[in-house]
Order: sequence, then C-alpha cells, then structure tokens
Amino acid sequence: MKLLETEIKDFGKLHQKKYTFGPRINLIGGLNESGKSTFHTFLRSMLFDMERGRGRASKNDIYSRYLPWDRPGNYGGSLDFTSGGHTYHIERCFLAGARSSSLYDVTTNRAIGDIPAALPPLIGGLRESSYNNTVSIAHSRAATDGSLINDLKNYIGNLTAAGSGDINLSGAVNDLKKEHKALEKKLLPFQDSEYHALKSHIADLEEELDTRSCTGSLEALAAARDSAKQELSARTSRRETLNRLILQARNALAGSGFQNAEEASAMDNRLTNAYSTYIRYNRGKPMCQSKGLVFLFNLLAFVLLFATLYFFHLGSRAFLTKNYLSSLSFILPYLISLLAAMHLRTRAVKSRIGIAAAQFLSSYFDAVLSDRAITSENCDRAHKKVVDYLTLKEKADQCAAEAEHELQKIFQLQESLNEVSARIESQQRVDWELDHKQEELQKDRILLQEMEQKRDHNQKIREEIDALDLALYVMDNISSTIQKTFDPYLNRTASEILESLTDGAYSDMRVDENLSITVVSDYRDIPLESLSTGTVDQVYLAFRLAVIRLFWPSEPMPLILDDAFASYDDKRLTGTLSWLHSNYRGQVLVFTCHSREKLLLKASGVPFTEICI
Amino acid sequence: MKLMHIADVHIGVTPDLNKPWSQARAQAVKDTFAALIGIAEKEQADLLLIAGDLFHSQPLKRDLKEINYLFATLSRTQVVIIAGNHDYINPSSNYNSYPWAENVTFITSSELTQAEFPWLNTVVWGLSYRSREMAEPVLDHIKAPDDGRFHILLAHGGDPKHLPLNYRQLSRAGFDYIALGHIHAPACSKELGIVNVGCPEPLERTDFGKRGYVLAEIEKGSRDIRWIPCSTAEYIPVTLEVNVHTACTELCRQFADIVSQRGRQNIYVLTITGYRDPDVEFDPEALSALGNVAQINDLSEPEYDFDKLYHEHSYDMIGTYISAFLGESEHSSLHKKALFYGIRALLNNQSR
Repeated sequence: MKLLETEIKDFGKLHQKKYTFGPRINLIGGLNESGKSTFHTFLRSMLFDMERGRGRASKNDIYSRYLPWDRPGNYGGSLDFTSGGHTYHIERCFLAGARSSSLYDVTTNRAIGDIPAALPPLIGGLRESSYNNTVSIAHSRAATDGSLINDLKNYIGNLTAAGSGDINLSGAVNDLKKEHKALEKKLLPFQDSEYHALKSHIADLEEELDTRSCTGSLEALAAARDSAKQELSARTSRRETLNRLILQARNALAGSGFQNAEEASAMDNRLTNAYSTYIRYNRGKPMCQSKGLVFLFNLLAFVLLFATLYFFHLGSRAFLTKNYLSSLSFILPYLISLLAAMHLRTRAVKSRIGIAAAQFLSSYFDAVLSDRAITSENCDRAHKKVVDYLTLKEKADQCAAEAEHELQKIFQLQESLNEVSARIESQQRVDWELDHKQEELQKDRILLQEMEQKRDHNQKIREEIDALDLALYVMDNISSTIQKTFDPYLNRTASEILESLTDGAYSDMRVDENLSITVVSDYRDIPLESLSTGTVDQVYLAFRLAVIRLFWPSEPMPLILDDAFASYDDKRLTGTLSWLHSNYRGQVLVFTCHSREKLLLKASGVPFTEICI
Repeated sequence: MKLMHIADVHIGVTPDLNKPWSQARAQAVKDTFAALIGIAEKEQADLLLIAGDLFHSQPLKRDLKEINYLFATLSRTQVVIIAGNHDYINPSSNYNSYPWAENVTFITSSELTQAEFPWLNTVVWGLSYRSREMAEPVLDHIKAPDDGRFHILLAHGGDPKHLPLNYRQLSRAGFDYIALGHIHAPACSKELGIVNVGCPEPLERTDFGKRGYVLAEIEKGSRDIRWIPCSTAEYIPVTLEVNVHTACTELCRQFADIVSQRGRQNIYVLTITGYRDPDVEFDPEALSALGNVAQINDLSEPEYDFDKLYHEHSYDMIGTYISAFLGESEHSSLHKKALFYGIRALLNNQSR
C-alpha cells in the first residue's frame, strides 16, 4: 500500500492543504506548532475514522481538539492511495451530525459501500491499534517499558498470517481468569469423602435399627419390679411385726426368772420331784427327835455287837451251843437295832429331804406365786407358769426362726429387685439409644440432602469453570502456536536488522515466550532494561521492522516515524536512514521538526521527498 | 359402600430444603392430612384406606399419638393402614404393638392379610413393607373369592424394586377396588378399578400438577370413583423465551406477571430458553425474589453470529479462536460454553 496524495479541507489548523507523497522516503518537516501531529492525526483519522469520546471524555477528544472553530462545515478531507494494484480515493467528513465517508475504487470506477468492513483489507488489515503497534512509531512509545512488554505480548498474540489484530489478549485472559476466580469463590465447601462417609453412616444406622430387637419387655420388667417391691414391703412389715412380738415375748420371758428352757424344765422337774418328795416324806415335818433315837439305837447296836462278839469269843473256848445261841440272841437284837438305827436314819434323812423340799417349795411359791402354802393348786400354778414360759419361749423361738426366714427372703428379694432394676435401666438405655439413633438418622438424612444440594450446585459451577479452563487453554494454545511459528523467523529477522542498524554493535536479539527481549553483545546476554534509550529505540525499531516484514511480505506498508529519532546521534541517524533507504521497500514518512534529517539525507545522497507543513 | 383412599402423605418430610417455604410446606402436609380426616368424617365414609408411606420415615411415638387422636375423632369411618417403603416396619419400629384407636386396623404383616368388616360386608386385603424394598411380585397370582362381599386390595408399590404389579392380572383378580400407593402422580383407571391416588400434597419439584384424594362409592357391578384435588400449592413449570432485546428487568416483569396470574402460593420451576444479548446475564436472585422459585435452568445462549464474527475477524485472535472450535464435529455444551466465554472476553478487550 502506498499513499499518493491527500487533501485537507479543514482539520485543526490545516486548511485547504494538498500534499503529494513520494514513493520512498518522505520528510515531513516543519517548525514546532506547524501542524505535524495534526497532519499525522489527519492521516490516521482518514484511515481509521474518528472515534468520539463518551461523556466527559468528549471535551478533550480528538474530535474536539481538531474541530475548526471558524469553518466546521468542511471538517474533513480526502486521501488517495494504492493497494493491490488499484487506486482508491477515500473522503471523510467528521462534523457531528454530518458525518460521512465514501470510498471509491478509482481503477474500476466503483464506489465501495460498508467502509468499516471493506477498508481494512485494503490497508493490509490495519486497525488503529495495530497501526500504533506496527507501522507507526513514535519516540514516546519506546520509553514506556512496562506497556512495551504487554504491547509485545498482545502484539505477538495478535499475529496472524494476514495482518495484525487489535485485541488485547492479556486483557481477555485476565478477564477469563477473573471470572474463573469469581466462580471458584461461589463453590460451596463439599468433600466427596465426607459425603460418602455420611452415606455409609446412614446405611449403618438403618441396618442397626432394622435389626435391633424391640422394646416390649420394658412393661414386663416393670411389672416384675413392682410385684417384687410389694412382696418386699410385705415381708419387711411381717418381719417387723415378728420382731415386735419377739421383743414382747423376750420381755415377758425375762420377768419369769428363767434363763432358758432347760432351766425351766429342770425347775419344773425339781418342783414335781420336790412336791412328790414333800408329799411322800411326811409333808415336811421335821423329825429332830429321830436324831437322838438314832444315836441310841446305834449305840445299842454297837453294844450288842460287842456283846455278840464277846460271847462268840467266849463261846469258842467252851464248845457251848448256848454261846452261839446267846450270840445269836444278841445278833438278832443287834440286827434289829441296826435295822432300826438304819431305818431311823433313813427316816431322818427322808424327813430332811422332805423338809428341804418343803423349804424349797415354799420359798419358790413365795417367790413366784407370793403364796407360801404348799398346796397342789400352787403346785399346779407353778407348773402352769413353767408351762406358760415354755410355750412362750417356744413361740418366741418360732417367731425368731420365722423372722430369720423372712430376713433371708428379704435379702433374696432385694437382690432380685436390684437385678430387675438394673435390667430396666439397661433396657431404658437401649430404648433411649434407639430413639436417639432414630433422631440422629433423621438429622443425617436432612444433612445428606443438604450435601447433595451443595454438590449439585458445585457441579453446575464446575461446568462453567471447566468451560473457562478450556477457553483459557485454547487461548494459550493459540498464542503459543503463533509464537512458535513466528519466533525463530522473527528473532532471526530482527537480529539481522538490528545488526544492520547498529553496525554490528548488537547482532543478536531474542524474544522469548515471556516476551522479554534480550540482546546479545560480545557473547553476553543483555536485558533490554539495561540498554540506553537510544539503543532500546533501535531494538524496538528492529523488532517492528521484522514484524512488518513478516506481516506484509509481499506488499509493503508505509512506515510512519513520528519524531522517532530524537535520541539518535548523527551517526546512528545516518545509518538508520541509509538502512531504511536500502532495505525498506515501502514508503517511509519521517515527521520531524529538526533540519538535521534533511542535511544528513542530502549528505548521504539518499533521495527523499520533502513535504512542508 | 363409600370409601376414601389416600396414600403417600409423607408426614415429616421437608420439601425444598433450605428454601424459604420449606417449613410452610412441611406444615401444609400435616394440615392437609388433618383436613382429609375432616373430609372423611363429613362424607361419613365407611372406610378410609391409607395405602402406605403415611410417614416419611420411622414415626416416633408422639407422631403416632397425634394421628391416633385424629383417627379417634371419626364417628363412623374405619381406618385401614399399611406401611410403605419409607415407613417400613422394622423390629424397633413404633408401629409394632402401638395401641391404636378402636376404628383403626393396621395391617403389619408383609404377607397378604385379610381384615374383615362384616357390618360393611367387606374384606380388605393388605400387606405392609417390613424392609426397604420388596422386589418379589407377590400379588401376581392372587384371586378374590366371589362370595358376595366387597373385596378391596390395599397395596403400596408399582415399580421393579417395590412390589412390581401386573395391572392386567390385577384387574382380573376379582377385586371391587384396588387402592394403590407409592407413585406420587395420580393415575386412575375407572374401568379396571385400579387407582394410584398419588400424594395429597406435592413433595418435590418434579411433582407437577395438582394432587388429591379419591372418594369412591362401590356397588356390586358398578363403581363411582372420583379423584378430588386438595393440594394447597402446586409445582408449576414455566418456560421464559428470551431474545437479544430482552433485558433482565423485562424478564423479571414477565415472571412477576405469571406469578400473580397463577398464584403466589405455588412453587415455580423456571426454564429460560432462547438467544440473549451476550452482554446480558439474567440474575437468578432477582427472579427468586418475585415468587417461590424452586429452580432456575438458564438454557439461554448468547447470540453470537459466529460466521459473521469469523469473517470479520479472520485476521485476528477472534477468528483464530473461533476456528479452533469450529473444527469440532459435535458441539458439546462444554465447547459451546468455552466458545462463548472466549469470544466474550476477546470482544470486550477489543481496542478501537
């Protein structure tokens, strides 16, 4: 594409100007404030139309800045250019309310409608942003390193076979990443493992509740406990009654004077014996005189015995039967008196026994019956008392035995009562556990439902996240594919140009995937940041020139250098301009306010067209 | 002989958990059940048949007390209940040995049992679930005797894992009325006398339509079966069509109109279809604020003319991006979404 000529009707300070471009280097010069940037803006506006700012931005946008205040009606102009062998004429009017553009194919005498769609292909696919990225180089662009990288990134990311795009790829990627983050924030906490754990816990609970035995026995146990309790209290009160009876009996027995039953029956026997003795032995009449008699009879018996023995002794000398007889006659009274003595003695003894018995009886009756009289009634009464004692004792003993028996039973009952209570407690616990588990199951089921809701929610969001991931992946793929295609060639081309431009000072430059440029000099890698501004400009220039060469391998585009050499010294400038003349096949528009370009071009014999604003 | 037939009340269920109307719906299930008892009394029905799943899960003793109280208020009606697959009778179930009111017969056996009502000249045959599933088709070969009495079958099932039923065989088994439960959508066959009454209140967002109960008058040789709706709210599916001009507020207004037309008490399941302006996103919260919205399926797609875009942007990333996807033979929803996301991001980052 080549610019031919342009007519400015009214644009800023430029009125009714016509300029014709040369085929190669064009030096567009003028003093400061002459309208160079106006001219450049005009060219851009003709190629890409003019965007009005919105709202407050409209006060200072390009439209307002260049709107002629005296003759707004002609705000616009025309531009003629060639492209693909055809010549085109484009006319635009920028005045708000009367905006118009027309594109005319001069070669075929055809008007072209739909300029926004039709024009870009004619100008090599250029849009305003790519224009700034490629063919239009201004000095200020090189200084901003931060955006340089981004620009290069976008730049490379937008490269296609046909031309440069205008899409901020890193911006798009950032947007996607932001959306990704926002969606990730919307994910609810959900753990698959927790979910499955809960599910199996619920299954376990259901299984447990399905197989545990039922609660029926609680009533039976309670009934058993109640009856045991009743029995226990019955027996306890019975025992108390018995104990009371025993106490009463014991008190009564204590007053009877006996220690135990043996003593009582012994006493009873004594009584009976004593009484019968008493009755038999003369009712207790003392026989004290028998003592004297007894002695007498004993003496007599002794004398008689002696006499008997004497006569016997005598008798043995004189064999006289009379002595035997006399001894015999003495023996008999002796025997009789002995017998009498014995009888008397036994009588005495018996009477003593009788008296003792009487004493015993009377004292006993006195003590027990308060009646000394020894009568059969008293005897009966005493006997009855013993009998009463014995009966009472027996009863008391019986009661004691029964009380003991009740005590044993009570112990047994208490034990079984404890056992039943324990069983009731454990059954109640089981029941409570079952109820509790039932409630737990219900709660868990609701929890599971909630977890499922969360899971479904997350699933939906994940689908979106997956789509975003895919979008990012594809974008990444595209940009890296493009990079891979162009990088080596780009690096080689840019390196060649750089070497040429810098006269061999820097012969190698690389742009890597992170789009950091390194320059090689003397076998050393030098990052871009550590080079001087002028060198950076040249690197930038080399890079752009390489890109331009790649984009437009066949039809060259005009290269616009708007005050791009401010930091170049004369030597560098000469070198660059010569290089451009030799190597750049397209038009070069050099905007400058200095005269040195002119001088240097003249000095080096490079042909150029001069356009004075 | 007049009977009332209900099933699948699911007392204790919390529909649409965590939605604002969830508790109200849970209460509505209980209230409707009480109302149904009132209707049985008003109609002086001879029998009230409850075909299973009266409770949503194992009932507690206090739950049984509540309904037993309601049953006891019936002056004439005899209640016959079976357990379904949700409130199945397990060993620890409170259904075992609960002291029901006199007019209640709870068939607890899992084998077909007969409950006789001589003064009604009726026999009710029923069986309960004693486990979560019943895969055996135990009712396939039953036959009711032709002895001049009314024979009614009460069962809960109808799918392969829950008492599979052969409806044709059942219709020829000689029952005067077959009262079924388990399937929540009502289906009556008046000719065959087989009635799947459905639940009295819809329980989840796929239960579209009204729900109710059945009143039937049975004579030998004729049956008059009426299905009567009684649900206090419905789930209503609504489809909203959008186009490139539809804004979010307009969609909300459309939906608000529908809600006021069809009832604020109902619960809506929204589906949005059509091709929308790519910059427009429909706010689900705004829609949910206008009524009871159980679910929103946004099936709308951003309107991108991909051919046009591809043509316009063949020089740049957008074109390349589109071509990466156009290679696909099948447009899976994942690819579609990725394409939309990418194009939107790229278009939004276009500098002029």
